[in-house]
Amino acid sequence: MFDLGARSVIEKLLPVVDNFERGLGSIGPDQKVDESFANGMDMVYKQLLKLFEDLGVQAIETEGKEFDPNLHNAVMHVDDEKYGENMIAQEFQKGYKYKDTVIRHSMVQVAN
Amino acid sequence: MGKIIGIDLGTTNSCVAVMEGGKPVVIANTEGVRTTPSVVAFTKTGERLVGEPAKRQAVTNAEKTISSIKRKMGTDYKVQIDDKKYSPQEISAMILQKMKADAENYLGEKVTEAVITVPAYFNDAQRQATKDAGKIAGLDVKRIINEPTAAALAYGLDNEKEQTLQQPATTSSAVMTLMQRSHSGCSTNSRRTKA
Repeated sequence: MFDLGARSVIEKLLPVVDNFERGLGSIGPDQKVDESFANGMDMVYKQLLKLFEDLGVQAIETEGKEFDPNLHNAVMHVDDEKYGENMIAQEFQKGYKYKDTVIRHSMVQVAN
Repeated sequence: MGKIIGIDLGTTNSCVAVMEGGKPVVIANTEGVRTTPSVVAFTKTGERLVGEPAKRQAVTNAEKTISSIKRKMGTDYKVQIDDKKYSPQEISAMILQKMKADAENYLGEKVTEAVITVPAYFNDAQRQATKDAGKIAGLDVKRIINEPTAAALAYGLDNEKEQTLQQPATTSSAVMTLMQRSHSGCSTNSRRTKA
Protein backbone atom coordinates (compact mmCIF):
# COMPACT_ATOMS: atom_id res chain seq x y z
CA MET A 1 0.00 0.00 0.00
CA PHE A 2 2.81 2.37 0.89
CA ASP A 3 4.48 1.54 -2.41
CA LEU A 4 1.35 2.54 -4.25
CA GLY A 5 1.22 5.79 -2.34
CA ALA A 6 4.79 6.65 -3.35
CA ARG A 7 3.89 5.75 -6.90
CA SER A 8 1.17 8.35 -7.18
CA VAL A 9 3.44 11.07 -5.81
CA ILE A 10 6.27 10.12 -8.18
CA GLU A 11 3.82 10.20 -11.06
CA LYS A 12 2.99 13.82 -10.28
CA LEU A 13 6.69 14.74 -10.14
CA LEU A 14 7.48 13.35 -13.59
CA PRO A 15 6.29 16.45 -15.50
CA VAL A 16 8.80 18.47 -13.44
CA VAL A 17 11.61 16.25 -14.73
CA ASP A 18 10.21 16.61 -18.26
CA ASN A 19 10.26 20.38 -17.98
CA PHE A 20 13.81 20.38 -16.64
CA GLU A 21 14.81 18.43 -19.73
CA ARG A 22 12.94 20.78 -22.02
CA GLY A 23 14.44 23.81 -20.34
CA LEU A 24 17.98 22.50 -20.42
CA GLY A 25 17.53 21.23 -23.96
CA SER A 26 16.57 24.70 -25.17
CA ILE A 27 19.97 26.13 -24.28
CA GLY A 28 21.72 26.27 -27.63
CA PRO A 29 25.42 27.03 -28.19
CA ASP A 30 24.68 30.44 -29.70
CA GLN A 31 22.29 31.49 -26.97
CA LYS A 32 23.30 33.96 -24.36
CA VAL A 33 22.75 32.26 -21.05
CA ASP A 34 24.46 32.95 -17.78
CA GLU A 35 26.70 29.88 -17.59
CA SER A 36 26.73 29.60 -13.83
CA PHE A 37 22.94 29.80 -13.84
CA ALA A 38 22.68 27.06 -16.47
CA ASN A 39 25.08 24.88 -14.51
CA GLY A 40 23.05 25.44 -11.39
CA MET A 41 19.89 24.34 -13.19
CA ASP A 42 21.68 21.28 -14.49
CA MET A 43 22.83 20.39 -10.99
CA VAL A 44 19.32 20.64 -9.57
CA TYR A 45 18.10 18.44 -12.43
CA LYS A 46 20.83 15.86 -11.75
CA GLN A 47 20.01 15.95 -8.04
CA LEU A 48 16.39 15.17 -8.83
CA LEU A 49 17.41 12.29 -11.09
CA LYS A 50 19.71 10.91 -8.41
CA LEU A 51 16.88 11.07 -5.88
CA PHE A 52 14.61 9.18 -8.26
CA GLU A 53 17.30 6.59 -8.84
CA ASP A 54 17.74 6.07 -5.09
CA LEU A 55 13.97 5.64 -4.73
CA GLY A 56 13.98 2.93 -7.39
CA VAL A 57 12.63 4.98 -10.28
CA GLN A 58 14.15 4.07 -13.62
CA ALA A 59 13.77 5.57 -17.06
CA ILE A 60 12.50 3.10 -19.66
CA GLU A 61 14.93 2.53 -22.48
CA THR A 62 13.65 3.07 -25.98
CA GLU A 63 16.59 3.77 -28.27
CA GLY A 64 17.25 0.80 -30.54
CA LYS A 65 14.78 -1.33 -28.60
CA GLU A 66 11.97 -3.47 -29.87
CA PHE A 67 8.49 -2.14 -29.14
CA ASP A 68 6.91 -3.76 -26.08
CA PRO A 69 3.30 -2.79 -25.26
CA ASN A 70 3.99 -3.53 -21.60
CA LEU A 71 6.51 -0.69 -21.47
CA HIS A 72 5.76 1.55 -24.40
CA ASN A 73 2.72 3.33 -25.73
CA ALA A 74 2.67 3.54 -29.51
CA VAL A 75 1.12 6.78 -30.72
CA MET A 76 2.50 6.76 -34.25
CA HIS A 77 3.61 4.32 -36.88
CA VAL A 78 6.18 4.82 -39.64
CA ASP A 79 7.38 2.71 -42.54
CA ASP A 80 11.15 3.12 -42.71
CA GLU A 81 13.67 0.63 -44.08
CA LYS A 82 16.28 2.11 -41.76
CA TYR A 83 14.67 0.37 -38.80
CA GLY A 84 13.93 -3.27 -38.20
CA GLU A 85 10.50 -4.83 -37.76
CA ASN A 86 8.59 -3.53 -34.73
CA MET A 87 11.48 -1.32 -33.60
CA ILE A 88 11.14 2.03 -31.87
CA ALA A 89 11.92 4.86 -34.27
CA GLN A 90 11.40 7.85 -32.03
CA GLU A 91 10.58 8.70 -28.47
CA PHE A 92 8.19 11.57 -27.74
CA GLN A 93 7.98 11.30 -24.00
CA LYS A 94 10.18 9.42 -21.58
CA GLY A 95 8.60 6.62 -19.60
CA TYR A 96 9.47 5.54 -16.08
CA LYS A 97 9.40 2.36 -14.06
CA TYR A 98 9.11 2.25 -10.30
CA LYS A 99 10.43 -0.99 -8.86
CA ASP A 100 8.61 -3.57 -10.99
CA THR A 101 5.69 -1.45 -12.11
CA VAL A 102 5.45 1.05 -14.92
CA ILE A 103 4.51 4.51 -13.68
CA ARG A 104 4.35 6.04 -17.10
CA HIS A 105 4.73 4.31 -20.43
CA SER A 106 7.12 5.88 -22.91
CA MET A 107 5.32 7.51 -25.78
CA VAL A 108 6.88 6.26 -28.97
CA GLN A 109 6.74 5.97 -32.72
CA VAL A 110 7.09 2.42 -33.99
CA ALA A 111 8.61 1.42 -37.31
CA ASN A 112 7.34 -1.23 -39.75
CA MET B 1 -19.93 -21.31 -2.79
CA GLY B 2 -17.79 -18.94 -4.79
CA LYS B 3 -18.53 -15.32 -5.33
CA ILE B 4 -20.51 -14.05 -8.28
CA ILE B 5 -18.91 -11.20 -10.18
CA GLY B 6 -20.73 -8.46 -12.06
CA ILE B 7 -19.27 -7.48 -15.40
CA ASP B 8 -20.03 -4.39 -17.44
CA LEU B 9 -18.98 -5.49 -20.92
CA GLY B 10 -18.75 -2.14 -22.62
CA THR B 11 -18.07 -1.01 -26.18
CA THR B 12 -14.91 0.90 -25.27
CA ASN B 13 -14.24 -0.14 -21.70
CA SER B 14 -15.21 -2.98 -19.41
CA CYS B 15 -15.46 -3.11 -15.67
CA VAL B 16 -15.84 -5.85 -13.05
CA ALA B 17 -17.27 -5.61 -9.53
CA VAL B 18 -18.09 -7.89 -6.64
CA MET B 19 -20.32 -7.57 -3.58
CA GLU B 20 -18.38 -7.09 -0.39
CA GLY B 21 -20.18 -6.54 2.88
CA GLY B 22 -23.42 -5.76 1.07
CA LYS B 23 -21.84 -3.13 -1.14
CA PRO B 24 -20.53 -3.40 -4.71
CA VAL B 25 -16.75 -2.94 -5.02
CA VAL B 26 -15.09 -2.27 -8.35
CA ILE B 27 -12.04 -4.45 -8.91
CA ALA B 28 -8.96 -2.80 -10.39
CA ASN B 29 -7.12 -4.74 -13.10
CA THR B 30 -3.49 -5.91 -12.91
CA GLU B 31 -2.43 -2.53 -14.25
CA GLY B 32 -4.17 -0.89 -11.28
CA VAL B 33 -6.96 0.76 -13.27
CA ARG B 34 -10.67 0.32 -12.56
CA THR B 35 -11.68 0.03 -16.21
CA THR B 36 -10.14 -2.19 -18.86
CA PRO B 37 -10.23 -1.18 -22.53
CA SER B 38 -12.40 -3.63 -24.51
CA VAL B 39 -9.59 -4.19 -26.97
CA VAL B 40 -8.08 -7.49 -28.11
CA ALA B 41 -4.92 -7.73 -30.20
CA PHE B 42 -2.84 -10.43 -31.80
CA THR B 43 0.77 -9.33 -32.02
CA LYS B 44 3.19 -10.02 -34.85
CA THR B 45 4.80 -12.63 -32.63
CA GLY B 46 1.48 -14.44 -32.19
CA GLU B 47 0.87 -13.31 -28.64
CA ARG B 48 -2.65 -12.36 -27.56
CA LEU B 49 -3.09 -9.08 -25.69
CA VAL B 50 -6.22 -7.84 -23.93
CA GLY B 51 -6.92 -4.44 -22.38
CA GLU B 52 -4.32 -1.73 -21.80
CA PRO B 53 -1.39 -3.41 -23.61
CA ALA B 54 -3.61 -4.12 -26.61
CA LYS B 55 -4.67 -0.48 -26.74
CA ARG B 56 -1.07 0.74 -26.46
CA GLN B 57 -0.01 -1.15 -29.57
CA ALA B 58 -3.15 -0.45 -31.62
CA VAL B 59 -1.66 2.21 -33.92
CA THR B 60 1.24 0.04 -34.94
CA ASN B 61 -0.79 -3.14 -35.44
CA ALA B 62 -4.16 -1.87 -36.64
CA GLU B 63 -5.05 -4.91 -38.80
CA LYS B 64 -4.78 -7.30 -35.89
CA THR B 65 -6.29 -5.12 -33.18
CA ILE B 66 -10.00 -5.50 -32.53
CA SER B 67 -12.02 -2.87 -30.71
CA SER B 68 -15.73 -2.07 -30.30
CA ILE B 69 -16.63 -5.71 -30.94
CA LYS B 70 -19.79 -5.15 -28.90
CA ARG B 71 -21.28 -3.42 -31.94
CA LYS B 72 -21.11 -6.74 -33.81
CA MET B 73 -22.65 -8.88 -31.10
CA GLY B 74 -25.55 -10.99 -32.32
CA THR B 75 -24.50 -10.79 -35.97
CA ASP B 76 -22.65 -13.40 -38.01
CA TYR B 77 -19.72 -11.03 -38.52
CA LYS B 78 -16.29 -12.68 -38.27
CA VAL B 79 -12.89 -11.18 -37.60
CA GLN B 80 -10.16 -12.69 -39.73
CA ILE B 81 -6.75 -12.83 -38.07
CA ASP B 82 -4.16 -14.60 -40.24
CA ASP B 83 -5.88 -17.84 -41.21
CA LYS B 84 -8.26 -17.96 -38.26
CA LYS B 85 -11.76 -16.52 -38.01
CA TYR B 86 -13.19 -15.29 -34.73
CA SER B 87 -16.81 -14.58 -33.89
CA PRO B 88 -17.78 -11.52 -31.81
CA GLN B 89 -18.62 -13.98 -29.01
CA GLU B 90 -15.07 -15.36 -29.03
CA ILE B 91 -13.50 -11.90 -28.98
CA SER B 92 -15.83 -10.79 -26.16
CA ALA B 93 -14.93 -14.00 -24.32
CA MET B 94 -11.27 -12.96 -24.38
CA ILE B 95 -12.21 -9.69 -22.70
CA LEU B 96 -14.40 -11.55 -20.18
CA GLN B 97 -11.53 -13.94 -19.47
CA LYS B 98 -9.30 -11.03 -18.61
CA MET B 99 -12.00 -9.54 -16.32
CA LYS B 100 -12.44 -12.96 -14.70
CA ALA B 101 -8.69 -13.38 -14.19
CA ASP B 102 -8.41 -9.92 -12.61
CA ALA B 103 -11.30 -10.71 -10.27
CA GLU B 104 -9.73 -14.05 -9.31
CA ASN B 105 -6.47 -12.27 -8.66
CA TYR B 106 -8.21 -9.82 -6.35
CA LEU B 107 -10.39 -12.37 -4.55
CA GLY B 108 -7.74 -15.07 -4.35
CA GLU B 109 -10.23 -17.74 -5.41
CA LYS B 110 -11.70 -19.23 -8.55
CA VAL B 111 -14.68 -17.45 -10.07
CA THR B 112 -17.19 -19.46 -12.08
CA GLU B 113 -20.35 -17.37 -11.99
CA ALA B 114 -21.14 -13.92 -13.30
CA VAL B 115 -23.83 -11.40 -14.10
CA ILE B 116 -23.23 -9.44 -17.29
CA THR B 117 -24.91 -6.20 -18.30
CA VAL B 118 -26.13 -5.36 -21.79
CA PRO B 119 -27.74 -2.21 -23.23
CA ALA B 120 -31.51 -2.07 -22.76
CA TYR B 121 -31.96 -2.01 -26.54
CA PHE B 122 -30.11 -5.34 -27.09
CA ASN B 123 -32.33 -7.90 -28.82
CA ASP B 124 -32.55 -11.62 -28.09
CA ALA B 125 -29.71 -12.54 -30.45
CA GLN B 126 -27.41 -9.96 -28.90
CA ARG B 127 -28.27 -11.12 -25.39
CA GLN B 128 -27.72 -14.75 -26.35
CA ALA B 129 -24.36 -13.84 -27.93
CA THR B 130 -23.33 -12.14 -24.68
CA LYS B 131 -24.34 -15.25 -22.74
CA ASP B 132 -22.34 -17.42 -25.12
CA ALA B 133 -19.31 -15.18 -24.70
CA GLY B 134 -19.54 -15.76 -20.95
CA LYS B 135 -19.77 -19.51 -21.50
CA ILE B 136 -16.68 -19.52 -23.73
CA ALA B 137 -14.84 -17.58 -21.02
CA GLY B 138 -15.69 -20.31 -18.53
CA LEU B 139 -18.38 -18.36 -16.74
CA ASP B 140 -21.82 -19.54 -15.82
CA VAL B 141 -23.87 -16.44 -16.67
CA LYS B 142 -26.49 -16.26 -13.95
CA ARG B 143 -28.30 -13.30 -15.40
CA ILE B 144 -28.10 -10.82 -18.24
CA ILE B 145 -29.33 -7.50 -16.93
CA ASN B 146 -29.97 -4.18 -18.58
CA GLU B 147 -27.33 -1.51 -18.03
CA PRO B 148 -29.86 1.14 -16.85
CA THR B 149 -31.29 -1.41 -14.43
CA ALA B 150 -27.83 -2.15 -13.07
CA ALA B 151 -27.15 1.56 -12.69
CA ALA B 152 -30.53 2.02 -11.04
CA LEU B 153 -29.80 -0.80 -8.62
CA ALA B 154 -26.41 0.63 -7.76
CA TYR B 155 -27.85 4.08 -7.28
CA GLY B 156 -31.24 3.28 -5.88
CA LEU B 157 -30.31 0.61 -3.35
CA ASP B 158 -30.11 3.14 -0.59
CA ASN B 159 -31.59 6.18 -2.20
CA GLU B 160 -35.08 7.25 -1.33
CA LYS B 161 -35.80 9.68 -4.15
CA GLU B 162 -38.97 8.97 -6.07
CA GLN B 163 -37.84 9.96 -9.51
CA THR B 164 -34.36 10.28 -10.91
CA LEU B 165 -33.04 11.05 -14.34
CA GLN B 166 -29.71 9.40 -14.89
CA GLN B 167 -27.14 9.76 -17.59
CA PRO B 168 -24.18 7.41 -17.32
CA ALA B 169 -20.82 8.79 -18.38
CA THR B 170 -20.19 6.59 -21.40
CA THR B 171 -17.70 6.87 -24.21
CA SER B 172 -19.59 5.48 -27.15
CA SER B 173 -23.29 6.13 -26.76
CA ALA B 174 -25.61 8.30 -24.74
CA VAL B 175 -28.52 6.83 -22.83
CA MET B 176 -30.87 8.74 -20.62
CA THR B 177 -32.89 6.79 -18.10
CA LEU B 178 -35.82 7.92 -16.05
CA MET B 179 -36.01 5.90 -12.90
CA GLN B 180 -39.24 5.82 -10.95
CA ARG B 181 -39.65 4.37 -7.54
CA SER B 182 -42.94 3.46 -5.95
CA HIS B 183 -44.19 1.33 -3.09
CA SER B 184 -44.55 -1.61 -5.45
CA GLY B 185 -41.05 -1.45 -6.86
CA CYS B 186 -38.92 0.37 -9.32
CA SER B 187 -39.19 1.01 -13.04
CA THR B 188 -36.77 2.38 -15.58
CA ASN B 189 -37.41 3.93 -18.95
CA SER B 190 -34.46 4.49 -21.28
CA ARG B 191 -33.96 6.46 -24.46
CA ARG B 192 -30.84 6.29 -26.52
CA THR B 193 -29.14 8.74 -28.85
CA LYS B 194 -26.31 7.46 -30.99
CA ALA B 195 -23.11 9.38 -30.43
